[in-house]
Amino acid sequence: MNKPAAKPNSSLLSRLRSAGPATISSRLLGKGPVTPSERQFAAYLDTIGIGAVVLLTIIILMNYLVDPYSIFGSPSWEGINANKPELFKHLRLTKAYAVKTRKPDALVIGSSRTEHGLDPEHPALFPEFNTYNLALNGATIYENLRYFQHANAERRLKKVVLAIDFFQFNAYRPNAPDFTEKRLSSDIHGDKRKIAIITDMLETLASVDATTASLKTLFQQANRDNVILPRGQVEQPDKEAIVMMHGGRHEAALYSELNYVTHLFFPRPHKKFDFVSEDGSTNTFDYFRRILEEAHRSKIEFYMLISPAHARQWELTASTGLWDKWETWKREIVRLNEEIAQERRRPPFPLWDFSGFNTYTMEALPVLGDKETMMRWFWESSHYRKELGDLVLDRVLNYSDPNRPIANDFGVLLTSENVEKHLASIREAHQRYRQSHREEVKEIDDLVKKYQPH
Amino acid sequence: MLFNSYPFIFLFLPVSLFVFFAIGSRGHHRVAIAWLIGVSLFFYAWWNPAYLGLLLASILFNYALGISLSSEGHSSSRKWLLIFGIAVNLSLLGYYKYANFFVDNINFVFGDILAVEAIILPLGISFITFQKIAYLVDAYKGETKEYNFLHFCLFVTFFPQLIAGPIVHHREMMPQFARDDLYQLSVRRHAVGFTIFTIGLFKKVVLADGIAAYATPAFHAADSGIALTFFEAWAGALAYTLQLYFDFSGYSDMAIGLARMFGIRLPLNFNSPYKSTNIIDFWRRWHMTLSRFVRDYIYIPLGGNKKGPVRRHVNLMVAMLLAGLWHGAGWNFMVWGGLHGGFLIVNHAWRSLFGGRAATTRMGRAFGWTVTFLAVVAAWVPFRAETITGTKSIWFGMIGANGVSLEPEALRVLGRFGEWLQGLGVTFDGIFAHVAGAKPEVAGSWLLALMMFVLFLPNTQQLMRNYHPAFETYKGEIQRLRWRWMAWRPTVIWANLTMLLFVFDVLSLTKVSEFLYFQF
Repeated sequence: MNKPAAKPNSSLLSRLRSAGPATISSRLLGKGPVTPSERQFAAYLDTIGIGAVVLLTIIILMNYLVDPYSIFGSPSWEGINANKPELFKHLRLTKAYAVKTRKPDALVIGSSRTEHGLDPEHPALFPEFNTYNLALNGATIYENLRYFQHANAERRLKKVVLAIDFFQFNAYRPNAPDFTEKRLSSDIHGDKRKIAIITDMLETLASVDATTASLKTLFQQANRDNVILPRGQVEQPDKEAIVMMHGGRHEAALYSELNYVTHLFFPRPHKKFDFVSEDGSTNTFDYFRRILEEAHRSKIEFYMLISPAHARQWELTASTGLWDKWETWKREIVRLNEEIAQERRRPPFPLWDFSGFNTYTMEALPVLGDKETMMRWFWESSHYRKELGDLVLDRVLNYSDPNRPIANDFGVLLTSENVEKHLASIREAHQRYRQSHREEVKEIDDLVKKYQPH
Repeated sequence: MLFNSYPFIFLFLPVSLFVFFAIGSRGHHRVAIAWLIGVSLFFYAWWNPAYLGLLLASILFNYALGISLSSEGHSSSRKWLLIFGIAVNLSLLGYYKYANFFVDNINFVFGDILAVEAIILPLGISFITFQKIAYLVDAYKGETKEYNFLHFCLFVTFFPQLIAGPIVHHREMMPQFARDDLYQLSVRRHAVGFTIFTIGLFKKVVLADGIAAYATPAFHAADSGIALTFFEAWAGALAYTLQLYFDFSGYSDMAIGLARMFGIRLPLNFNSPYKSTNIIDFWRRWHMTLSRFVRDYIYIPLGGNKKGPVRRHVNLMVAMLLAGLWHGAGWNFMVWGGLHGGFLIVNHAWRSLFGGRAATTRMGRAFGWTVTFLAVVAAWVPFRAETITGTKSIWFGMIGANGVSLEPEALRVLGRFGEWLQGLGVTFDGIFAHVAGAKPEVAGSWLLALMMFVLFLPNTQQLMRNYHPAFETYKGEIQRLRWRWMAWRPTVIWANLTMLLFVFDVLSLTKVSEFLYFQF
């Protein structure tokens, strides 16, 4: 270290000026003198310092303006960032912040069936209420509970429709990787709390992920595979074409059923279905109980429903050996609803069951290989279309539209008095379905035999 | 405080550098050293202030002991003093690191007869204890000079090496603290140091954390009693092998780079260990400051290779078992140490039989590399797994005893052939059926890319070779670059590359988790 140190106060400009053209070209080519001068080291550090600050500022600014996760409320420019294709992968982030900014007083909650099918702008919900679809794809009942509490802490809710699915009550299904307690404005007991948003801010402004998301948003404006509407409902404008491209409705049904066998009903790594986990740490009915208790406590106008799904789904439930558990689940839901109401000295919440075999769920599935025939009510055996969702909400919210009559067999109001009779009638309908749809039944049984974990 | 965190990079580092040179360049050298000790203690206390007292008490104790050891006196009383000093240091380490392990084992054998609260391990105590023992031993041998108290404090607390090494030796640190040019702001040191730090940060936050996304769930599944299938087990073991290397060598690079910004050189700690063609070579390249300590303060005092071949092998095994135990209180670390002890014995026996002839041919080297690498990968399994069940799950999986599984879709695509495979016992539950969130194509590309990285790219110190990035433990171990144009120089191109790397590092300090629900 025998060279004199550069004077700390010598400015960048003066250094640049004193560096002659020879130095600059030799610097560019990297063929400097054997021992580079202190000046070269200083220029090296200047480049890094200034470059890093400028680049980071540009990136943060871009992420803020493009707002790929839709959490900053940045302006939306058509053709630049109006469409946000990255949202769909980060719904738990986006929806948590949407609740903070929109402060809805009415909700639709549930899993992806609800997210796609139930319209928050249904006339019985909107515009009288500021309704938001807070359903989360693949949600566990725990996630539904926590987001419900989050919204109720942000603003006291007036009206809620909760749509539940059997698979949501599997204690072996973990919460989604993008679920985090930290961004929710309520603790597990329903008490409001202050939350630190610094982590979310750093992640969404200054991370590689946010930057790639911004770039994808800028360059994929035409990608309309999954559009998140302002009120939280997911719309898939190109889904019809995509389903057809992938082999048609029947193929889509098989794919969804395969996913139920390998993921939703028997999730990795345990590959088990139960309401209470082996170590007792998770009891999904307990989470359900907390939802009802908070709804009573906050005196919310609360409606519950068991989602419709195609008849093939119930055959799949039987074939995977879960039928008895499915019935137990319904009995327990009915029992808890009445028990908690009694504890609170309030009437139980209306609980509608749309599952089973009825006019809509028995809709014919096009044959395998048919890439043209569409279905009126379903996407595949698990997800129903908005058209059916409208009927569901009409029934639950007691709304009638002369343009869309509802078949009488769609939706049964469940109580402890009629639940056994209702379950028996579904069992009978299932037997009749097996008789009349031998081909489809065999197809599902084969699929289960082939893929069900042993 | 972690090096790879916002508060460290954007507050702690700039402030400590600025004040150090602001004070030092005005001639207040002792104040500057005191400042550096102060920020180092703050760095330590950030994690758990309660243990700051412990650190300070241990510094005072060892310094006082060092002085009495190096002063003239009765040799027998000095010997007892040394034994006392080592015993105190080891019992401190023993209490914090091994008490729980000891009690658990007693309770396991004799039933629950002892009760002890879970003790939190003070950060870096393993590293600090080793440094102090070396200091005491050398003071006893009369190899230490009269050390300045401030310098001694800095030697122990200097934050770049405080919590995860390299394990520095007083002989190479103390003289540096005494140099007058330490306090001169030097753009050269900053440029070199910052570049090394940036490369190390990249290894940690991009490479190690990237591959950990596979290693962690794989080992988690194995430890929770799930038998991993062939591909899961191999990918898990390889992913951890790479994660540990990039994590630890990245950390060492960061330490070396940070120290350099303060004008201090640290010893080299990693030298492309996975390029080794035998286990002896591996231990000259992996965590070098630890193997140096084990050699000088365990293996040689035990007699080294001077007491015949049998004692030599026993000494080797004892040294490696202790090295295993040093990494953590658990039987799995003993297994790891025992395996490496065994590997080393085999390696030495092989050498005395064949005289290293095989290593001269290309085929011989390829064979040597393969055997060495497989042995190292297999040994990392018990090192990482928290349970014997986990180790067994992965080892059995790697030899195919837990079956082979392919993607469900493959059964449809493969048709007849698929059914034939199914007949052979191949299942179609998914390649990574038991590993949450892992995708075969993603994990596969990561593994491939990182293997190329460790096998074919030059390491940090090779790139920086012209600027003496670190002390060499073995002379000439920083190899020349095969391609000289790659050597680092303060050029515009290198400046921009380093700047981009740094920006990428900063953007990688945090991640946005995503969830893609199954759909078309």
